[in-house]
Amino acid sequence: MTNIEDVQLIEQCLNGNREAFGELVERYQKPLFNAALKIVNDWDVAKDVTQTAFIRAYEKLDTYNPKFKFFSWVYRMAVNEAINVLRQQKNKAVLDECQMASADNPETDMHNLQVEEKVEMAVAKLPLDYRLVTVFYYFANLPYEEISFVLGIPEKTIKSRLYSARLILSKSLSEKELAFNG
Amino acid sequence: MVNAKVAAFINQELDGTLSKNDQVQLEKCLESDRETRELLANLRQLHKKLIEVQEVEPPEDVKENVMRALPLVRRPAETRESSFKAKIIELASLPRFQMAGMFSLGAAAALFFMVISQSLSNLQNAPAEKAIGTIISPDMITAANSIDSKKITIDDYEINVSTTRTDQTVFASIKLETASNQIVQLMVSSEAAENFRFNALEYSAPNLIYANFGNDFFSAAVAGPGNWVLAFDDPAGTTETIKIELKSEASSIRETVAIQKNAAQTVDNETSSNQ
Repeated sequence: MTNIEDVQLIEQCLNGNREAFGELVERYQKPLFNAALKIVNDWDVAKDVTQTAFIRAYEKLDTYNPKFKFFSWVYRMAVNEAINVLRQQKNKAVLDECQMASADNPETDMHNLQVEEKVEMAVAKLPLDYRLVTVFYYFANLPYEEISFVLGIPEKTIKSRLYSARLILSKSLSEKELAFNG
Repeated sequence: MVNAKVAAFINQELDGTLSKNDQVQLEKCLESDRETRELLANLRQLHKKLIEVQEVEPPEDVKENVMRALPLVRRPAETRESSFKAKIIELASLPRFQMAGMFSLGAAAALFFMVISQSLSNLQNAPAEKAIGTIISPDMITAANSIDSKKITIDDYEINVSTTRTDQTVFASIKLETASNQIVQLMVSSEAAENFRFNALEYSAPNLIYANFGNDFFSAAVAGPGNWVLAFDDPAGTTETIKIELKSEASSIRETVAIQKNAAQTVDNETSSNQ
């Protein structure tokens, strides 16, 4: 999926084809939901954040600037919504383990699963500024330039926060846990 | 403690963007610094583990919920522009000898309208409870809520509408009760009322999608319960009914609600006793 294809869908939507927006939702709901989930640490809240971000994107579609990628633009709305929610909720605790376990994959080694859970929990405990950078770098796979646009901060600050986040994470996870299967 | 230069090299190495020259420099630093060597080894493992974290599937109904909300969503730019244009057209059609007097009033009203519109355009980022306008007192809200309400049902929503008035103001208290998160659109207006104007609003709606108003109407879309108290200017004091329109994905309802007058005296008496 390229930005050109996204722009074409947006143009169709602005011309009255609402289903074209549905295609955009189909493309990006999974990465957007996963980013929201790792930011807010709550399944239902992440769902609300995801849905709200898409609805707001639709409302403001006529203001979209093709200079930026559509999914970065929607991520930005999701971040704003997530931050608003967290301010209201005063930051929730650790992820619900039941929601994080990949119970649908019976071949997953339990030890691997526990380490992955621990990694995710460590990310969930990061201070928000570091968590945002970590989520968009590792889980949304955005380059520094796009992360800078999404979060509205310079690339230099992002790299600095990412390094600090890596240090915190490596301290909170033991050598044994990091070395397992590695 | 790692210095900034080595920290930058480490970041670049994990990103896969470290140049050969910088790689050589990093290795030289690591030769004599065991602590940093161990740190880098840990960070490499961490980097690998983070990359391996798998995505989960989103809830099945995300797309469905979004698509259902779209028909009920208005783009703020269109609504503000059409209301402002309508106001300009109205001013331009007045007789000349009234223009001078009306212009200053119109300019002030347009400025007020633009300021309020700008504030409302940020409603989605605003707290779920907000007040706009200054004339709704707690006594008026109590009076509005104490009147027998009209019940309207649409899909999973039960809506209770209470009205009351003073000499020049109409109040509508609207309570939406539901256990679902189905989206419903609400519009409040008045039929053929002269100089009937939206004035103020207090609301508590955690699942607010959008809210908007024009000269003589108020509209909102919500996905859950909420309480609304609206105030409309009625300088002639002649408005006898308001119109409530409700629209969901499956149905739409229009109801005319009579404005109760019995509590007006109570409100006026309570207001005057506070002076």
